[in-house]
Amino acid sequence: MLLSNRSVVLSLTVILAAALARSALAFTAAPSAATLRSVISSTATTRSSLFLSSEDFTQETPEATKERIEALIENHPVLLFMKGSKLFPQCGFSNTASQILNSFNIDYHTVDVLSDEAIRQGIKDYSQWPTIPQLYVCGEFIGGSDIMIEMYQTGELGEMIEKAKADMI
Amino acid sequence: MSSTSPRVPSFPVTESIRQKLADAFHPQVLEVINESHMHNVPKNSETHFKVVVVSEQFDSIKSPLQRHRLVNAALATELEGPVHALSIVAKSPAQWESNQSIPASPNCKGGDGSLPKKSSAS
Repeated sequence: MLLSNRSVVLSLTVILAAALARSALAFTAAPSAATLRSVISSTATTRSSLFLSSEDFTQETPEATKERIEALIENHPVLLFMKGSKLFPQCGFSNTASQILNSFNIDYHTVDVLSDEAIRQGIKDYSQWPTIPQLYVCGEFIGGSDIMIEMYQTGELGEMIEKAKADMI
Repeated sequence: MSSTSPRVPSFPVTESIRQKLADAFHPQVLEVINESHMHNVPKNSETHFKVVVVSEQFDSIKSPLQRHRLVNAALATELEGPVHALSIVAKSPAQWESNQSIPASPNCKGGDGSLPKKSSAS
């Protein structure tokens, strides 16, 4: 921990030194803590203006969220709204759902609702379904992980996925 | 079949779920399983549930999606409130006769910012 802190300070010092050199202030031998803090805070400001935070999505109107959801459903023949990602599911039920889809060897799309608050609520309203995960195949709402397990076992889900594969080509 | 859930007043959500499912489906088999202990929530929480409903009403409703929608609708108040996760087994008596297995619920993966239960593997 100490080591990594030191290396962060070191790299910041390098950045700072470059900045100082540019502004012809290279004679300032050691940067003060206050200067370092200002560099750190300006870096942080840049980050937050470059990337969308979850707050940006909560300000979206319900209509705009619905349009985003509809575009996702239209563009992805096999679409899973889940908590986390395929590689790092953040919920056991979402993990079950993605494991089932993995077994079909298809390139399905996922939406992480934990990183998108508007969709997290919006998809529940859109599907009239209270829980996550939610699976859409060829624009049709299939259900959550319980239903996926059931339809996987009966072979129905496999048939649907085969049809979706044809859509992907 | 008798339930494994405690029938004491200190579990009001469990009781409410049981009552509403009994009223809505007149089930032959009804189990309300509080699985909250599998998740990183305070002891005796009522947040994660599995319900098993075996009802003649499902004879005429073949689609699992429609069955689950009916169960969700019966428990809409709970799902909007304290209940965070609901796993549903909804079967007709004939289906239940041929297969009485209840799928095990998956391990918690710590979504919603909560951490996986400490005792779980990995």
